[in-house]
Amino acid sequence: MLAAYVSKPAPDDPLAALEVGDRPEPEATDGWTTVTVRAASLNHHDVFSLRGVGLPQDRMPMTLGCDAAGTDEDGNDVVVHAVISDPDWTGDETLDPKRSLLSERYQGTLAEKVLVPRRNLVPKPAEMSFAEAACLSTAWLTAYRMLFTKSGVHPGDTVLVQGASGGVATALISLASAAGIRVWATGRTEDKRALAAEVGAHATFESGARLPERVDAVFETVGEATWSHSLKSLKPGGCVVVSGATTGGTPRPICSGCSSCSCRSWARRWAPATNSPG
Amino acid sequence: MGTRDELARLIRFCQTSGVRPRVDVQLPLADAREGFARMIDGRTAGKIVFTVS
Repeated sequence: MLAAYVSKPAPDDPLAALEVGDRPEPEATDGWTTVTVRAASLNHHDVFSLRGVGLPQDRMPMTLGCDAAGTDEDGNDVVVHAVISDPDWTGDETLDPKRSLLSERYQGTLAEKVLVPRRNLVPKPAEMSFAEAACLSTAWLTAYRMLFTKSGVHPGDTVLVQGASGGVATALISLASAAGIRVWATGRTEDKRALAAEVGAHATFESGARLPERVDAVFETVGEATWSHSLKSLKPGGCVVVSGATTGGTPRPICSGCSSCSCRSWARRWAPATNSPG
Repeated sequence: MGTRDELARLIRFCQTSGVRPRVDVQLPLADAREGFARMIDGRTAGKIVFTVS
């Protein structure tokens, strides 16, 4: 079947490592089911895979892709949940040390068919297109979780989204504004700021700009380049929620913490399943 | 990344609010290289989606 995959990583030239061609069709196994893919979306995770980051050579060739929407074996329209947990794990699967994201241990979604655990299928509503549904499982789900599970913000609060043209960032802007949260966003160029406004930002700013007031939460997907600005923009008691760091590095706090501003930060790095047993 | 529960709630939120992911471009899977090039070059304004007929 047709698939986009990687056989040999290229850390400095990821496009050179991309292969688009024939891969074996998945074979049915107990508790797992085959989805006929109708649409699959691209994530930065796939580019990391091409660079060999988070995907060791001994798991290649590996079909790329975390997200998909398609039809299950009974013809139902479904969205694929990308986080694969151990079958014995109960509770929040993001905490399972043996978890993986599709295309890390199990073949990914940039293919005609993908094999997933039955529990990883969620019905797709008729009013969403396959293309829209294919965008939900990674970038949009991450944004949803950052906003509504982790940040503690409420309708009427004000939030800052850094680096507003990325997949997670645009999802954050759309979801937050739809939930009655005031959204400010930064972007390096006029085009990026225009995109942020188009998807729901109430105001946009150049990177590093002083904001009209401090915000209740800052959402970070950029990393080193914006970290200092993020902390300076935050109200005391506010929250920085971090997901990924496309400019790399481990953001360093600019203060060692004291009781006078009591800011708190929540950070979770998605650690690829390179060293997990089994 | 999140839980299956959160994904189900996200889908319901999309239904009740009407909010939808912005798709920048849809390309056939056979043209995946073009999509990857756009992402690597930073030429994205929304999601890049590959369609499989």
